[in-house]
Amino acid sequence: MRDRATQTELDDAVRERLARMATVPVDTSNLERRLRAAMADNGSEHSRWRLPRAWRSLTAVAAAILIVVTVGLVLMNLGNTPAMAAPMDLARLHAEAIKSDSMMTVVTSVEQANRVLSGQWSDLPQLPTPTSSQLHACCIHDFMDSKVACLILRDGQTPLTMVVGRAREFRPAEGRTVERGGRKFTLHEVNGLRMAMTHQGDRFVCLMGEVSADRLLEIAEGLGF
Amino acid sequence: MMEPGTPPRLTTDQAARFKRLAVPQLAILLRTAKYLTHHDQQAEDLVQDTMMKAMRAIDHFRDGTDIKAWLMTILRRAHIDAVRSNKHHPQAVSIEQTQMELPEPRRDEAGEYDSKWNQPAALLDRFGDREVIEALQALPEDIRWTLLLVDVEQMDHSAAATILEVPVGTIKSRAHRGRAMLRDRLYRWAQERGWVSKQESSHA
Repeated sequence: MRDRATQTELDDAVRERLARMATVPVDTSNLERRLRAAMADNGSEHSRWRLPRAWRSLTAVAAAILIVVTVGLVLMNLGNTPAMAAPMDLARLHAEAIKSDSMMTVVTSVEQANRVLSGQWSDLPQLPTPTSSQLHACCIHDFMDSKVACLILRDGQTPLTMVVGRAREFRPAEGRTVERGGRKFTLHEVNGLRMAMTHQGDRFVCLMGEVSADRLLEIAEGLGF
Repeated sequence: MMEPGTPPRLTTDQAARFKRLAVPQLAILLRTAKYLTHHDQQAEDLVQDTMMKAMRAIDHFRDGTDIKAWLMTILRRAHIDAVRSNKHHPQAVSIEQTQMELPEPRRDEAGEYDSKWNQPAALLDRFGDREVIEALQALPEDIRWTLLLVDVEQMDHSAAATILEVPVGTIKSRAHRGRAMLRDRLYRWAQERGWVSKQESSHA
């Protein structure tokens, strides 16, 4: 029989298992909505209390205007925050893309994909070039009220999806971050589907497939941006 | 729902600073709150409350210091306020009660089943995230806070000590003890599921 684990091994094992809990996807969209609504409610409540007095004082009027403007500015700022690309939604997008593979435009190079997709989306971000997997098909997809480019790649027989969106519209979901080739990737896993997300300049890119984390990172590292 | 309080009066710079520093931490705060409260709605209430307080206090945050630790401190205080007022936890016990429920620490702070484990990483991997969360939620609150900060969020002992307002030594001791309590619980579940032999365990 194998030797029993030492205290240090036990502690390390628990610590590593708990560290992975930081990669469990969290959907903040509802909270972001609630936060905006709460701030709007506060603003209007404040106005109700202060405005009657404001008629009597010019400074009070200025203060009331300042509050309204401030709340507006904060709401605008929050509204401009890129949405978190939820791993569950990305997993659904991957499943749909793989299922409707035959409905997508078959392409063999990124140049060809850029030409095809820019005809459908004038604001198409420059697509990264895969170097260690084969490009197979592409399409434009609606995702979380925005457009994204969706490319199907093949790593041997395994299909991968590369989603490319605008960095101002999407941000990687919080998770374990690793650095490869000078780039930071955030890793997630949903039911065996692994994802590596990154921001590169004005692009949000998510590469996903049912491959090992090492293989996924190897492919992601090889992307030409 | 959050306390109305005074609406935040932020200048453009303050609003931009809040957006730049605090908003990106939303997911971390929400995850911690969910593991803490056992309840999605309460967790959102708590983080909303935290964010409103952080917005009002944004000028007190010093650049170059740890924004995550600053927000976690606000989150912890908001949680204590909520527990004490029973606002978010109608059946909740007080912080003091949860601390009193802690068993006396053993000298070696080892788990009951520690001598029986082999291949701990492989066994722990068999538990899904939901089960690990359940095991975490069964721990006393101060132990759970410590593991959430030190092991889940990977904060250093000194930052966790500042947030929880205890000495660094207490954090180390709580973390060690918390891991032992967590693995004891998981080991019992593994026995119930037949993942480890009860006979082997009893004779080990």
